[in-house]
Amino acid sequence: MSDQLEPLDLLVDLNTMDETGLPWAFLKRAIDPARIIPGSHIIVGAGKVRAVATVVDVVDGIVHVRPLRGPVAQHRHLLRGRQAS
Amino acid sequence: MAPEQGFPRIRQRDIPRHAAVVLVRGGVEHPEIDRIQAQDFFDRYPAWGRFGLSAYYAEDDAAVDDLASDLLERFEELHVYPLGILLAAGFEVVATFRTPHVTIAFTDLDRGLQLLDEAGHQVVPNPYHGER
Repeated sequence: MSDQLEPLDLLVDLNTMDETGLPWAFLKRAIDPARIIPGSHIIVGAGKVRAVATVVDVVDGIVHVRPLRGPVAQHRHLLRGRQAS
Repeated sequence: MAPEQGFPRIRQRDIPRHAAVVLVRGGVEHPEIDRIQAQDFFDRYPAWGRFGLSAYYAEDDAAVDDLASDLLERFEELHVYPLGILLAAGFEVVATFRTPHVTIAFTDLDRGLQLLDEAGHQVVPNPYHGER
């Protein structure tokens, strides 16, 4: 499956940055907010863009993520609770 | 200096504003994404009163290449806007957060998104996209 077809856990415009130097999004942009746990790995992106990212923190409804380099498939083993594809 | 509540951190040192400066953004292919992000920026920094989209400035081709290989590696295509074109269109371009990040700021959401879409820019493939 190509990265473009991977369902998102959290809508994040990976152009963004804030005071932390990391991309951010509101928690309300998560498909399932219960999956957005610091230290977990999730699929982030927007439009055709996808990346596996580590959830760094969730503070006052704002999520910071650290995207991993490379395609989603390279990091699929980090994604718990997802079907391999 | 810590930003005031409701304001983004604006760097004291402005970006260079000579003719060769460009702003680079990763392409997301869906205008609605820009709308959502611009609104989210407004909602996060309401005291500033501006919609905003993130971009990164570059002074030459080598700097664009650095962005492509690092901060914007995730994007298949990059949108490269001459700074002067965006300023002439009425955008504020503000040095925010960490170098080389900038915020393309505007006060009318619909108009700003339309102007950005119409602004002359190049769309270039990212040679680093998908590298392992």
